[in-house]
Amino acid sequence: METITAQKSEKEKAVVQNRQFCTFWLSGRLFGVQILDVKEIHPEVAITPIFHAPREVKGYVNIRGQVYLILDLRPMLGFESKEIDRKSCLVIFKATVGESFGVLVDQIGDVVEISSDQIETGGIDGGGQEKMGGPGMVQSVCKLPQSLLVVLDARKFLGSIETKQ
Amino acid sequence: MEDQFADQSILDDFVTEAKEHLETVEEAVLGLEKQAGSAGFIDAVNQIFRVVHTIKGTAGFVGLTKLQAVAHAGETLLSMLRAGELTMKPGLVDALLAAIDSIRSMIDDVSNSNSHNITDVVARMETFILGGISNVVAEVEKIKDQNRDKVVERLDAFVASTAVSLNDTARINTAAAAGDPSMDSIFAEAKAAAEKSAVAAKAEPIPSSDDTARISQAQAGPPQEKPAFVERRGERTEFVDRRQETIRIKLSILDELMQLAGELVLVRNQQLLSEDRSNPNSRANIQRLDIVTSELQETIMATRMQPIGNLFNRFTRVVRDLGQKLGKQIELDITGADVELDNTILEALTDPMTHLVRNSCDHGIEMPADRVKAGKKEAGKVSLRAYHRSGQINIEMVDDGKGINPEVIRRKALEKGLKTEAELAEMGEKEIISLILLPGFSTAEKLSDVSGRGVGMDVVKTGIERLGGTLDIESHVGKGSTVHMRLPLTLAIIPCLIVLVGKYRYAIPQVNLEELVCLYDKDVATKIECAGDTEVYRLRDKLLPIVRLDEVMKRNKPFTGADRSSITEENRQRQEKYLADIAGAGEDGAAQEPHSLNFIVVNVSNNSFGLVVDKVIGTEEIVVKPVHPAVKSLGCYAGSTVMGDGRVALILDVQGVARHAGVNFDGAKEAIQDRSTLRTTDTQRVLLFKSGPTEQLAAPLFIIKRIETIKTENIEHIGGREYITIEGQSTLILRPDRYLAVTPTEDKKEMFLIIPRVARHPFGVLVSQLLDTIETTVELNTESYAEEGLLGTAIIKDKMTLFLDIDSIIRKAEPSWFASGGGRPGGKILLVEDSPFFRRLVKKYLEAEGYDVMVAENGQDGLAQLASRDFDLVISDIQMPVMDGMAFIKNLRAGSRQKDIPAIALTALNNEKDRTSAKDAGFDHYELKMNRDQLLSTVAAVMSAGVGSRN
Repeated sequence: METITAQKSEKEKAVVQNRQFCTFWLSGRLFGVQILDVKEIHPEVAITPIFHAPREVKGYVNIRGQVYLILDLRPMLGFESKEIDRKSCLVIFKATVGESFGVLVDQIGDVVEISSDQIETGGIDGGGQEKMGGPGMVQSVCKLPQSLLVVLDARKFLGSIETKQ
Repeated sequence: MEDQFADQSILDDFVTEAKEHLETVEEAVLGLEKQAGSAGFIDAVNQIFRVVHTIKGTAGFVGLTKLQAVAHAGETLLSMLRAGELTMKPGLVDALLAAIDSIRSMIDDVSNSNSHNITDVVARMETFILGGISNVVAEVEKIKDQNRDKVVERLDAFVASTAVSLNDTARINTAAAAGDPSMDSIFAEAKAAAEKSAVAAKAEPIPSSDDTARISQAQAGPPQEKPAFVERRGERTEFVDRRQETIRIKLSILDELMQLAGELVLVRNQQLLSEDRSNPNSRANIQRLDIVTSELQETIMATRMQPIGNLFNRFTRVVRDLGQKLGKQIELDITGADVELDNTILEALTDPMTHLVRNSCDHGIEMPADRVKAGKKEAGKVSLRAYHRSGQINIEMVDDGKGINPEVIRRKALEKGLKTEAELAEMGEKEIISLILLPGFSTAEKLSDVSGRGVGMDVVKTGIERLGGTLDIESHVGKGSTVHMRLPLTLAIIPCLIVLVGKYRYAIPQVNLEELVCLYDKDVATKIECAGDTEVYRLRDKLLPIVRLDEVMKRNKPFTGADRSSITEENRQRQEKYLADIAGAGEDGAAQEPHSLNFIVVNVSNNSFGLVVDKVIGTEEIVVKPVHPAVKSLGCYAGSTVMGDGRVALILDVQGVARHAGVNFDGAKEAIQDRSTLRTTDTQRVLLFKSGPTEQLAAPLFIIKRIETIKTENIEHIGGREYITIEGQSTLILRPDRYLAVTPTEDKKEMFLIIPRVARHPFGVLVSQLLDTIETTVELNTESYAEEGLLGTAIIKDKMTLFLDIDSIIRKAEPSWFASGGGRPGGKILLVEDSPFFRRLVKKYLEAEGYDVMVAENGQDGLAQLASRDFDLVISDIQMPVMDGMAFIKNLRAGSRQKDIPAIALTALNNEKDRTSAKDAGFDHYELKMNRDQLLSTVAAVMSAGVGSRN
């Protein structure tokens, strides 16, 4: 099944390309990142805060012996931080995205598959951008039946922290 | 040029292989000198020969012509050595070493190697080669008339050994085979060929492919082939055998293994915790898991370990070269070369160690003539020693040179303004020597090209400290110096102290730890003092700046003065409130919740400060994980680690914490010396005791000579007085209640007698109970309860305590002892003393003698008083804030209104040096604080002389 889809999309590359996103909720809104960037989803474990770090840095966690730096996506996107609760989740990214790091999200959503013609990359510059953690973090916006999905570029996350220091 | 080189990967292989070979070769070459004539000599030469030959072969193959040329010349030289055509000569080893260096530099820079200049190196070797040829020539000359075959044989061997190119060999052979009657012509051919071969290296490199081709031709060819060639080709295989025991592994793989092992240790720890102890089966399994995990971790650790000999052996060369250059004879002695330590540490040690060894050779070891003069062996000795001790690697570098002269260091430190004279005066010899570790200090009298290139010992020290190690220097003039380094076995796992602040744990590397201090109850409030905007604690006479880790963590930005002030003020208020609370609670004070303060004395490049934490958990060996690059700019952390429960804890960078908190070590020292800024100042050790049942009495320890235990039955009553015999002397007993308004002394079977330090006649104060000796900040209250015989009162341990003035008590008791003092001439004395306690004490003595005493708190104050009033005598302390006694007297003598006034230095410093410097500065007399009688008699002498002269 997979291979068929792959072949199909290969053929019809120019026309329709289906992409999968790992979605999550932040402050009642739906966000997503490319699923290929995600290493794993982890229920929130004990985070050790790093004092003196920018407020977007939540702290370190240990996942199977590897220490990951966890960023708090809420302040990065201009929302207020909130206490960690039972639904809080960590999205850990692959090493190709950035060195051992992940983000804290309110709640994890489904994996959604969207054909590329539904993805709008234009018209998202401007006012919202400033709020949304600086240039480039928002990659595109997709219309889903129930809601709007804002696709974020995980590769820009670490950089936006570094520039803040 | 580039395209001449073969495939890059072949080149890379060549480079790594060649480097490996060179390592072994250098040692062997250095060994040649010693081995000359011994059985091992030929082996050593063979070993070098093989390496050089391999390099030559491969270099030719990959088109590195210059490299090949040098190797070729080296090979020729070695083969002549091997054949005995050349004997060891001075300079030969140098020529070989130079060749090896040249080869190494070309290998390091392989792509440009063909543009290296090798003329000198080759020329040096050629000199020897030509010498060898002439040896052979001489030999052949001798035998040429006897036997033609022998000559041919000899020449063959010679030609083979010198790797004369085949064309020439063939010509010689043909000449010989053709039966040419003229021996001379054969010989001439051979000589020319050999010379040509030697010179070929310089003129034009041998085109190797041709060479190889010709060799194969020769091997397959006519029956008169030269077996020597075949033999030599075969030797290459030996290297392969030797390298089979090791394998190259990427460090990243080892690191990952290490991390996994670390994680396994964690899983094991968790398993150990949740172990079901009732089930014997699972217990055995878990024990095995435990053992296997530990072993696994150790084994993986061992993969990173390298013998320190790898590093030490390099210095054989360094020392030899330096010795020659400097005209000194230096032996290097290495012990513990097989001690292993982490590869990363070993690499990082190279530079500091090289610097130290160079330093020793350059500055430490004297010239041979000087050594003989000093009664030492002509050859100096530098020893490198490595050993394990208490979980650390210890490295010692000892030289038997001239040592470090503290005087020179002192002078230098002054010149460079690194320390003031006053600071230096207080330093011990060892401390002064360790000044050379300060940045900006170079001991080189003049710049030499060996050391003193602007790189000082401080670089060495920082290098060692960066590795989590420590460095000490010990030196004795004329005997030599020892540098002692202590290093962790590995950087990957370090022992740490785990502390708790708030909800989170932090690890403090053990290398930074000095000690732990815990203050309880009232001490929490009283022992932490404020100096300027910093909190300080008096730790055995040293002032320790205090940093509160919770405050550090709270504040994102490095502390400003305002931050520090507010923290200090906040804590001061909290402490005062606490004091008020317990005072209010009165007797119920004990019922209060326990109040304590933990701080860790940590060391940052020779400075210490106290780090206040909520709780000390314990020490643990932790696996260090580096700081995430995104938060690398935060200075307070050295990394993170995963604790036994799986949570991450941060490793503190103590230096970073100090920087963040803006700990000003010098500032704290200055501020504290300026005692006027302190709330409480004077600390004294006092003895607390009771005589009557109610009052708590006290006396400063320094006035007490000893405390005697006496039996009441031994007390003799004579003429209304009580005496007891101690050490054959009748000692007068004073009961405090007779002279002070206190409750009568309780009579017990056994009592104590406090014997004062200074007394004209033996006496003691009778005491029923000894309570304690404590260190306290004495703020004597003289107003609320004043009585003769009392210095004053103070609150100690929540009780009002009477400070006895033993001197005035004895005066009251036995006025006849002091009768002679009454007739002394009066006079005005200025007493300059910073300690209020001493000020009061000494003033009392003097006033009792009938002098008029004015007091000043420090030198400046003293000068001001002198400017406005006339005095007959000045008595001054030496160590004082604002202006010390030395500066005071210099100023006074330099031209104040009363510059000829007699002056007595009154101080606790009792040594000849201080005495002399005090007299040099302008004091007429020098008295010790403890010796009251001596002081009084000096004062009396000065006064009567002074009054006399004025009259």
